[in-house]
Formats: sequence, C-alpha cells, structure tokens
Amino acid sequence: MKLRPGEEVEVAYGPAFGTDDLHLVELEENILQEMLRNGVHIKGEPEEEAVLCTSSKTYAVKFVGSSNTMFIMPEESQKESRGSRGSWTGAQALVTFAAPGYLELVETAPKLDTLKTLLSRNRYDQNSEAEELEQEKIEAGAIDEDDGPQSPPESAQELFSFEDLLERVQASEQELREALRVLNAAEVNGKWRLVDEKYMRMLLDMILCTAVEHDWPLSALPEEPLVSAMHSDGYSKHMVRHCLRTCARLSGEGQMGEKEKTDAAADVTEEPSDMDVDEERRGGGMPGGSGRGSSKPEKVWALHSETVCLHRARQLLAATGSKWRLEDFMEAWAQDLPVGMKPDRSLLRGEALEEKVGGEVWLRPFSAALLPAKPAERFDVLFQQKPRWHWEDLEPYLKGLKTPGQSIEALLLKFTRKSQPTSDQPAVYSRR
Amino acid sequence: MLAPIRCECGICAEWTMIELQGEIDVQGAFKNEMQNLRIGILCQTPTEKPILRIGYHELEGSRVVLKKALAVLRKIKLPPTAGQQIEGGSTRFDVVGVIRQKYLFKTRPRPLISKPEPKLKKIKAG
Repeated sequence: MKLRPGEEVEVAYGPAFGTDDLHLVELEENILQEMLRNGVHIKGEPEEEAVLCTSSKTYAVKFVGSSNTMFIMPEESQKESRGSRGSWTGAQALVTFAAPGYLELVETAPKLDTLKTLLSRNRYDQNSEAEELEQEKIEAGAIDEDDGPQSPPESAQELFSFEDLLERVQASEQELREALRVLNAAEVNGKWRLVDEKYMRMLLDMILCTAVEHDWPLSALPEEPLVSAMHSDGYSKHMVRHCLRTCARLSGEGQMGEKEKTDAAADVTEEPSDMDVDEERRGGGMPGGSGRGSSKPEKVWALHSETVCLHRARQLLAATGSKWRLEDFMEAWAQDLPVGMKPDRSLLRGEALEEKVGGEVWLRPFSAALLPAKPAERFDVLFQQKPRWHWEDLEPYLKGLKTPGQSIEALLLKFTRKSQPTSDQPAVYSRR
Repeated sequence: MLAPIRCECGICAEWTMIELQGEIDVQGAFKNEMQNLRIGILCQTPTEKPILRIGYHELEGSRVVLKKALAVLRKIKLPPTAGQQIEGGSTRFDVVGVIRQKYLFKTRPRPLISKPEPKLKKIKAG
C-alpha cells in the first residue's frame, strides 16, 4: 500500500479481525524466494525446539516479541467503505491481525544427534549380512520376479528410508545427504543403515584378497565380477558395492568419468539403489550376467590408496594399542600395503600423536573419530591426553566442531590459553 | 513432525504493516466487537510524511522499507487422516502475504485542537 500525497484511508479492524491463526516470519530474500517457489518445512517433535529447513540449510526459529503494536493488513483492502453507519466513504484499509511479534531465523547446525541415534539402533554387520543372504535365497525361490521386496525379518522394523529420516531429523535435505555420506551410511533395499566398522574393515580386507586372487589391479577393479565373486563367497552384494563407493572411485569407462567429484556422495545421490536391487533380482542365481548388465559399459573402480593405507595403519595401531617407534611403524606399515602403495606419514594425523622421546619419534594411537562431539568435553579429553598442543597437532582433532555461529577461533579462545614465548616460535595451546 | 510452509500462487501479494509505539486501548464496551471498528485515518501529507489521526490525536510517522521481508503465514491444523497415528493431526502453513515496508509511527501523539471532532476517541465505523 502506497498512498499518494494528499490521499487518505480509513484504518479499521477488519470483519475477520483476530479470527485467523496468522504468524509473521522475518526472512532473507533468498529464503523467501525458496519458500514461495518450492516451499520449506518447519520440523520438530513436541519436545524439540522447532527449526525451519530449506533444501540446503537449517535455521533455529526464535520468537521476537515487541511492545509496539503491529497492525497487519492485506493489500486488497476495500477501496470504498460500505459506510452505512460511519461517516467515512473513502478508501479503507482493514486490519487482519495485530502481531505480538515475529519469528526470526538464525542459521544453525543440523541436529544430527537424532540421525545417529536412529541409525545406530540397527547397524549393518555380519548378522545383517547373513539375514540378507537368507532373504535372497527365499526370494530366489519365489517365482514371481515382479514381487516387491518382501518384508524382511524382525530387524526391518527399525529401519528408515531417506524420507523417514528427513521427517524425523532436524536437518535440510542437503545436510542430511552430506551427513549420511560422512557417516558412510549405506542404502540397502531403500533403507539407510550405518555400517559396523569392524564389518567394513573385514569387507575391505576381503576385497583386497579377492583382487589378489583374481589378479585384478587395485586401480582397476571390475565391479560386476568382483561383486559376484564375493557374493558367491557369502558377502552381500549391496555391501561390496557400498564398500567400493566409499573406498574407491569410478575410473575407466565409468559413466561419470568426466565428473570431477566422483566421491561417495555423488554416487549415492545419482544412483538410486533400486537400480542395484533391480539388477540383482534379475541376476538371480547367475552371477554377473543379465542381459542388461552386459550391455552397459563395465564399471571399473580404483581403490583410494589413502583409504587402503589408512585402513592398514589403523589395523596396525589397533593391533598393539601401544606406542610405536615411528621408524618401526613406517616399516611395518609399508610391508602391509599392497604393491605400489606407499605409506604417507601425514595420513596419521588424527590417528596417532607423534612424540619426541630423546632423539626418536614415537607414535601413540589416539583416534580423532572417538572424541566427543561437544566442544567442552572434546577439549577436556584432549588436555587429558596432552597438556600442551601445537596447532598442527591439534588441528586434526578439532574436525567437526565448527558450526554456524561457532568458529574454531572462538572455541580456542573459550577453551584454551594460547601462549607464544617469542614471536618466531610456534604458539602453544594449553588448558584454560 | 513435519509442517510444510508453502505458497499456493508462487508470487505472494504484498501486505502492509502499520507499527505504533505502545498500544491502542479499545474502550471496554467495544472489546468484544472490534470487527469493523475504526482505528483512525491514515493520510499522506504532501511533504511525504504520513500522518495517522486517531480520534483527537495525530501521529507523525514515516514509511520504512524493511531490512528483511516479513512473510505472513496462516497456520492450518489439518484433521488427522484415517491412517495417521499422530495425535491431533498435522499442521500446515500457507504463505498469504509478504510485507516489505511499513508505516512506522514512533512519535508521541499530538493533540488536535484546531480540528475538534464531536465524537469520542473510539467511534464505531460502519
């Protein structure tokens, strides 16, 4: 409503004043546009604080009260008053409601705890694999190909599809996908699962063994033959594929060859897993060979050498659980690696701490992955481990602490004391 | 629980806001029938300053463009459908308008002596 100079309108309570349940939300223009074009969501269980999710971000919703009176009126107020009893016959602006305040959005980190809680109730491990293979046998026995996946055994009750998770977890679609990728979750028959670490390590070991057995180079693992070879040894096809997606990248004639980012996220989002399911059901008992499968270019995967190196390093560190002399460790590590892969000391950042004892460097296993997520607890554990930290040692252990509105710098100020004897010496962080 | 916020039309009509300091006290007799009650007359003076006349009083204000837009949402409680176990059904928000500017009156009211109106502060308009 914009009045021209000299123009007058009567402002009055509208005929429906106060009858609608109306709310104001203050928005950045980009969120407003997304809201108008595609819609956004308010999410939260009754016991949670509500958040607003766009397709890519999560915002906390805060109510900002005001002692001012805010009269809200639609544009298309009546131009002429019906003016039966009143003296006014000119244009009228009718107030629809008086707002007690408005809702404000503050960008916030997605609440991923819920996701972890939901998914960790039912991790995929060897038992799940056994169940899955059992189920496959039953389905192979059934004649009808078009049968949807029959409701699998008990464990299926606590499984979640992407939509289920999107509804329950206070995160945007993009943040949820990213979180599933970071957690290395796998989609099995349309349900997202966390994969048991031990099981995953065993699977990677088996892939390495199978590659040696068939004389496949680790930089060119053919997907179908590998999957069916391992399937006949009693490993889940889904999981072998999942392992490839997380530990390897497509190479050779993979359809996504020209894409820069062929990481797990891209694979997961661009290849709906029903395709896998589909292929598998057609494949039935005959490994590797359906008409459709062979007409497609063979997918070839290159194992990330860092993943394999790190995998072996973790095994070594876990095996003894005690300190290693760096030289000894590097030697043992190199011996454990497949031909052509070299150990890289920088990979140990966040896995083990280097300590100088006399003239020698020692490694002490200390995994960043096992640290608590809350900043106060995390710093507590860190300073228990070691009272004084140099930045380069500390940095890998701070991963995942940064959230919108909470920078690493701010956390360091809050939880550490930084000291620097002289300007040319590196700074040291100690407990505050 | 998921409550969608969406807009049927995709381009929402612009709404207006009039903001006053303090509040307007409606006389007791009218408290229960505020519908169609006149609040005042808003007028745009030739000097660009909007003026709001409420009864004997006049407020001088300004037209302000909001730094961030305000969306007007209508909350709609949907009755639970047959298959739904959620208690009380679900909720939906419709975007019905967008506010980008407001008439802001933050001065104290100035009594109008030259132009007395015969009626009391609150009069019932048609």
